[in-house]
Amino acid sequence: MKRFVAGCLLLILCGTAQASEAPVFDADQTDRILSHGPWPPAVAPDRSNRLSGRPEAIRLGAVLFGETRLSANGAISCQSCHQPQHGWSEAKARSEGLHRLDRNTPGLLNAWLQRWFGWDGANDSLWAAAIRPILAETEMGGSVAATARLLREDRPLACLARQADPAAMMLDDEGLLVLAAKALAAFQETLASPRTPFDDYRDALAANNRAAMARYPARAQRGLALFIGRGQCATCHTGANFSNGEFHDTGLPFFVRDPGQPRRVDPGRHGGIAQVLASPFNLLGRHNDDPAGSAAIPVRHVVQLHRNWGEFKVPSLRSLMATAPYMHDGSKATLRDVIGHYSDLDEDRLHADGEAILKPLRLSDAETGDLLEFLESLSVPDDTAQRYEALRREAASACR
Amino acid sequence: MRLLALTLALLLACHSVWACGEVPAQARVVEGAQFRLVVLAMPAPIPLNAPFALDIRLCNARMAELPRLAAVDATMPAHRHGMNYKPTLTKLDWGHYRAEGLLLHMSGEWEFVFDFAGAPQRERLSFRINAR
Repeated sequence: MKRFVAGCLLLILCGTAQASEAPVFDADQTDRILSHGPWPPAVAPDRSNRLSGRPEAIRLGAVLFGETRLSANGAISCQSCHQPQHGWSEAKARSEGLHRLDRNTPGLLNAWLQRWFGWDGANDSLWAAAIRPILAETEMGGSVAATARLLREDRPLACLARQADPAAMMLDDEGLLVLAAKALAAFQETLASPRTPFDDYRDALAANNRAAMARYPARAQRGLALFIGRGQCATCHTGANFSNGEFHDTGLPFFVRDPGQPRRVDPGRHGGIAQVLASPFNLLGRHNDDPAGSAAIPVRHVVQLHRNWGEFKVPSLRSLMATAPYMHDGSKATLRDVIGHYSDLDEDRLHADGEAILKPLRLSDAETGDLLEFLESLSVPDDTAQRYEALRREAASACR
Repeated sequence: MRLLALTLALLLACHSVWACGEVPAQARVVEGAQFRLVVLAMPAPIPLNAPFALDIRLCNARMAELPRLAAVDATMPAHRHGMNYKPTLTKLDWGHYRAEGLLLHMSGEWEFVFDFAGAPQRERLSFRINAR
């Protein structure tokens, strides 16, 4: 009997050892892993925004971010949906401004690294993306004139605006709206997520520091192997920000359903391209502070294709633990649900002319757990909420 | 003298200075029936997920036989789709073109396709890269 128990224990121990084994990455896999760093990336100012990186503008932007008077009913601010404690997203599946929207509020951490903004990329700069919710009837329902009046007539805001741009009060109404949006963008550019356990592992791998590499859990390493390998996640979740910033149809339902209302289709990127090309605030317009620069190249060359129907932006995976629920429609409550979606992918739902490599991953429970642990290793708590409050206090003492 | 130096610097910045006789190491060369296609990415190597341009030269062709480059595109054969962007093509000189606004948005194998018109027969040349 004793021998039997000892044998069982040995078997269990061997099994545990095997399950906890970390993969050994070859040169090709190592290159793939290194492409997801270094972090943090080098900061470059947005040349299309003359206020980018300016402390006075960042301060004004922080104040405007919590300003409910930008909305038609005086009750909604950017912060109402982009909540600091939720990775600058919110815990609701679908966002609610003046009306219920069709999509989940995207998080704002590392948003400055993107090329297109919003789930459909309806804006091509962070500052233009700040204008859209202010003016949208379904979101804040504000107006160009009301925003300009607020900046001119509210003494502290006018003071902060003059500090950000000494010529602010010479601007016309639209110029003042754009100034507010550029200050909001300057503030959002400061919302960066910190280094994570993955970044430590990635840098240890680059330095071939085996002792440091061993500190990264074996399960996360196996999840990473899946992520860059069989899962093909890294085909779209590329680079240090784990997003290619582009758009894909990943087999989620086309239809938006609300009780008592006819179902409707969310056109996704197809509609986003039409909107960005029609926007007076795009980078081809007069408000781009660097019209000859390279930032306008994508909008100058983007084309609307049939396959853009139902495509939505690839989100960054950094700090994603704070931003549940997931997907453009907030239909997945947990990360495990997201992994389940790709594991059991409905191929019949996908476009005939869509992405050909999307196949159900058919992951085992153990593989799902590994992938989950890897994804969790891309998140650590950040101090952006505290820095936001500090900026607002600083602004309040600078202009009373 | 300063003005001359400035003009020269500007010219160098605006135009690629390589010619058919001195193909840069990072250029891709494809042999066609009538000519040799030489393509240099700018920047090189081709970046993943960032806009880039192609400096394109048709070499080893007699002037009279020089075809017209009609279109440049890039696709992912295994994925059955191409780019999300349509490059603009500008003729800089005889047999010398620049394609701008290309962007490879996914990692993996991409095929660049060059369609020519005006030669004795239409011609399509291509090469593949692994974008990383």
